[in-house]
Amino acid sequence: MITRRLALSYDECEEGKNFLGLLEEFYSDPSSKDVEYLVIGPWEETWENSSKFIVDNLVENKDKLPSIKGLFIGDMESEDCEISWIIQSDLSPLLRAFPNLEELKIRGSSGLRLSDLQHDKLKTLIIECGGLSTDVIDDILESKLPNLEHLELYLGVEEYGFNGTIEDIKPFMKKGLFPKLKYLGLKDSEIQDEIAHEIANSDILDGLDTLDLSMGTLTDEGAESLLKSNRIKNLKFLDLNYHYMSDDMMKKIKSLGIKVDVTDQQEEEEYDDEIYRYPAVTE
Amino acid sequence: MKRDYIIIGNPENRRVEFFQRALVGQGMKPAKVLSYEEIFKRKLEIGGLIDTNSIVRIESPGENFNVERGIIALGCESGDIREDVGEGDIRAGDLRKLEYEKGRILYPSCWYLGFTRLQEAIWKVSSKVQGLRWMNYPPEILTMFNKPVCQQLLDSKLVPVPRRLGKVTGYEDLRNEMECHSVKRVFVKLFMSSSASGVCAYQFESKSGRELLSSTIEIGQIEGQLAFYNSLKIKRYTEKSKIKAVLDWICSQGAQVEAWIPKAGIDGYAFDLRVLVVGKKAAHIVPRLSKSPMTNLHLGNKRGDINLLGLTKREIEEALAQAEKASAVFPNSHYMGIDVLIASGSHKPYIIDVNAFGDLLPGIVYNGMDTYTYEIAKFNCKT
Repeated sequence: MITRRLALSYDECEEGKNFLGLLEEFYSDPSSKDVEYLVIGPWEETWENSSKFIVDNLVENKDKLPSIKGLFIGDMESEDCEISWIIQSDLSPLLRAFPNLEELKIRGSSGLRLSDLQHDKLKTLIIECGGLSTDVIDDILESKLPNLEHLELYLGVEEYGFNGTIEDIKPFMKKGLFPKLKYLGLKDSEIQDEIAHEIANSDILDGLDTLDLSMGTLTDEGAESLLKSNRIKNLKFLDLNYHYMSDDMMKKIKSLGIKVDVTDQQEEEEYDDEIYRYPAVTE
Repeated sequence: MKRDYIIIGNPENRRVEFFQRALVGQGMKPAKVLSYEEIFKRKLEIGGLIDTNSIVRIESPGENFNVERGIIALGCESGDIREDVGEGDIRAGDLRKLEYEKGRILYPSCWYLGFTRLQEAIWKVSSKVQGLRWMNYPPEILTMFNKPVCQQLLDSKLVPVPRRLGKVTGYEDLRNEMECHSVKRVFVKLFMSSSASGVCAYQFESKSGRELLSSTIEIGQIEGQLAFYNSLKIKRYTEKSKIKAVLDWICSQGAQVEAWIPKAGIDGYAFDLRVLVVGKKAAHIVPRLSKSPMTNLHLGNKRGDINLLGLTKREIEEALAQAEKASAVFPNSHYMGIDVLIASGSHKPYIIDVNAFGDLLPGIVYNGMDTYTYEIAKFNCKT
């Protein structure tokens, strides 16, 4: 896949360059028409300027990018901008503008919407963030993505924008919402145990290859439900990387007979007699 | 002429032990050790304790509370008033009551004044004792320790450094200064600190007024007064009252404020380079990988491999060249640990710190030698 990453560095910013300038340069390069995967890195003051101006510009120039199959909007690390400070926008216009899009990856959920989400070819949707709001969750639940195979959502914590409950997540666990789904990631959650418990006996497991419950606050409690499930063994891969399970439970999970990842065991913190556990991406 | 080494340091500290081991390993006599405690006992009169023609190695006075208290006492007795140093805030009477408390950052501006007097006293010995040679030169050590002065000096010699903001008196002043320079993200550091003590990464966003201070400083209270501690875990403050408390205190002691240049990263880690420059040439290199804005290794950060950072050969060479250029600003000092930031995206190097005692890099080898052995070998070539 021919990939191009556009990013405005600190030094370019100091020299007075801006992201629209980078885009113009990109379009004027004849090889841009062959680019299949476009990565949008930091733009100017990502914590104050939303991605809307980039979305608008890409839509306007869609004809110059006939080969695009993948987009990653917001590829940046905390050194560039805290993940919860990245300001996104409604990214649906991109889906309408690029009918051949197969992958959309998004980092940052502040200001994010995916309104009227419909696409015939999209196979992969990934949202990495500190906390996903029910607005976006509902956008995805109401979407029409008949070819979606890979859905990966960082649910995050309340402090960074997660305002849902297990009830808001449950609809993702029902078979049929995305008929071709092979990979489901409901991860980086502060209610990871509840999610594990709910999904353990859900019929969606019958059709999945991978269940990704990694990066959250999974403990023995949630893992116990997975262990007892008859359906879990239908999976090819169970990703529980970054967790709060005991050594004993890790052993039991490893003996499930399917490929599992139980690396990166976390230690809970105790403070004033309260126990604290944090998902991986909470800053 | 055969010369012997003398180490001025804290004899119980591993830094001294490592250097002695390196001397013996090279078939040399172990150095005589003059402890900082002894220097205080002698009220800084140390002329008779240093042999003529010695090579003097000055070590970090850190990790010894008696010495720390001695330095602070020197500072508060000095009555010095200096523009670039904040107000000393301890009276001699309180000093006697000063007790060791794990991690507490004690009277930084007093400490620097005391450290200055101490180094000056050591330096003055050269007028009484003949033929001394300094591994690192005390007046230059003092400059390296004073961040605003050091950065300004580097800048004047066209060494790339982050943009500096003016002197700030506190939180409100900092916000104004940031506004004025259109800078939204800054590092605020205690002007004289080392080992990431009193370092903050601060950012705010004007639309929502949201702000975040990541810092190695932990706020505590003693008898109703705020006290500030070094934390090995990065603290994240989002409440204005706490952010203000930390920043006001740092500014009262004297602060270095500079633009926060995003560091290059690899696999979700940001990194910078600790480069030991010996005799003006870059030697030992330690990439420091961090998930927080602070890269110091004692904060639990990882060492990386210079060849696995996604930098081109030319970019690495450029980073090392700038470290060497920075070292040349201190022509009378033999070695220093220079921290080089590699900017995200452009991979342009910036010098963010020059550490006079930055050679404690156990396990890192260059040309088959540890840092101390290499320093001695190179120094012997010179003499």
